[in-house]
Amino acid sequence: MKILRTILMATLVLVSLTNAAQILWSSYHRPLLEHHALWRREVSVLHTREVLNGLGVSRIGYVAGPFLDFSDFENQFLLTPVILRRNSPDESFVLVYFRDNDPPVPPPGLTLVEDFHNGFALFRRIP
Amino acid sequence: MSAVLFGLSCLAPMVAGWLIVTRLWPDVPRTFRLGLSWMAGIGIGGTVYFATLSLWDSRTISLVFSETVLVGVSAILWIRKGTRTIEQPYAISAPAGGTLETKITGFGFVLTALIVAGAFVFIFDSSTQGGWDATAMWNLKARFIARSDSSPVARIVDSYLGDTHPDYPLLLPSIIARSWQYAGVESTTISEVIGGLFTFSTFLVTFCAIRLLSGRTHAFLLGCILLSTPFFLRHGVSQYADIELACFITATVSMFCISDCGKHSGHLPLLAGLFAGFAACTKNEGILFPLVVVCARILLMLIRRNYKDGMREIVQFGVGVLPGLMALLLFKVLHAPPSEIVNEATLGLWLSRMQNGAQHFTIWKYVFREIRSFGSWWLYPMPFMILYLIVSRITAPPRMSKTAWAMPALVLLGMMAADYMVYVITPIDLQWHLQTSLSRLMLQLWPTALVFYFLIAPSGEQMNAS
Repeated sequence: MKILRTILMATLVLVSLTNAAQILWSSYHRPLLEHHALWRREVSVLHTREVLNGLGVSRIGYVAGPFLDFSDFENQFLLTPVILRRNSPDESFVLVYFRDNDPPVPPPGLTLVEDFHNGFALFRRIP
Repeated sequence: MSAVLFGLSCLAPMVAGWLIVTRLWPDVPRTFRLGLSWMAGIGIGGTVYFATLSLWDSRTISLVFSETVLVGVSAILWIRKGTRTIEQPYAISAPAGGTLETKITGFGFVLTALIVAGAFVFIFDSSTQGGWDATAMWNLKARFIARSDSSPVARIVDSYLGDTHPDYPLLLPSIIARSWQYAGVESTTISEVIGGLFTFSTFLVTFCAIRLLSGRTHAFLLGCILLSTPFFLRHGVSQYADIELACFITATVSMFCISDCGKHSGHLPLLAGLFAGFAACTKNEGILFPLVVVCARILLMLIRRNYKDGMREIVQFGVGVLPGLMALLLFKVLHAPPSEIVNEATLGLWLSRMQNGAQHFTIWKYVFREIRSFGSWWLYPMPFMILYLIVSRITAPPRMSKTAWAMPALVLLGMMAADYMVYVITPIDLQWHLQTSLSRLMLQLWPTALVFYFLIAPSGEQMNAS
């Protein structure tokens, strides 16, 4: 029985070693220290964030696609501390996320303040 | 420069944690002290930051207050160094030169650790962005704290940010924001390093607890299994809060296991309370944890009939839990919107759901499915673990008595029962809820499950000793 115990222990060690090797194999990649997509977007929205912070409001309206998806969370993360209130009718400024760099078409009731050329355009609500 | 400043941000918690652990557990082995010190220090710094943030809603006041407390605690403990540090050797030691089992597991552990250290570099490199929850929740909240000149908490709990779980406690975002304030940059790499440190602490605490309670052979074997769990490693740097919670849960349970063995002096239940309080401040799931621990201790006190010692332990635990509980209460009372799960839970709903067989069937179906796929291992180690346990139990001397396993067993049962009840009453689509959270709930309990496993499987060293 003691031999069986030692064999089982050795088997567990072998299984662990195999799993560890598999982790190394599956995670290996080159080159290291490449900038990730979020970092690149972070750089592209620096001016946008500056403009939004300069508005002097803590909340602005936010319009994007018909469904909430990860890019909306990512946009909030990038543009913090301004709160992006999705489809809010009460805010005087509205940030529209067009997802492409085509010239933005002002939605009804809004007038263009600035096109940031990174998928975002800022609008003011027409009183 | 940022890296140096971030290193500096870890210094004050490390020193404070080291002194607190030394005061509460004077004969703690050095490696164990290292893991516990980081957790205690960063936990206290983060909890004070979180509590002051809930009170004054200002990052500057929070930073000043948390640093003052850390430095103040360190200074007081340094000046009043009443108890001399007597580092005890680990209780159970293998014979000189080690047995064959110790040699096999020791060699395997060193090799596994080296391979995993290499793999961790690549995992770390590919995870700097963090997972979905990191961007949408934990780092987002930390950014609100670090970037808002006024009222960061008011922004975090804004009604339009309902999808980011505004009711979750803010310990982890507080820890991250504090480090960002020190470093002067809001880099996700810092969040990742913090996650990595918690992963290492979880491993260290689990390893040292088993080294102390069950011997070197089992500690090496535990190290092999835990380090070769891909889900544990990948999640450690995903910048989620689950590893942090796992870390605090494991430390709490380990403190009680060691205390139950009665071989070490000190105020281990107080230390356990401290960690349980931090667990409550980490995630909503953690709020149940101190309650589960208290229930487990009451049950053990009744079974063991040691009312005087049992009550003293529970009181010490209660004192330890207070800082975390106070911070949590301040946040929940002053700011947090009601939790979507608790808000809709009524006795009627609970009774009707309890009688709903389909609800239970779905939960159990996912539990069994998750058990089969948990860990993301290439080679599934569970069958070998079960076989090893059976053989170890058979070869153990009949009169070998151990009490340390009772605490992890009760905590595992209690936490699983609590999580089960949440799934029963959830207002969210059950399948979606299970798919997105069950694996992480299991991960939170995985190190504790390993502690339990290695306490019920007698090691060769224990058999020799008995």
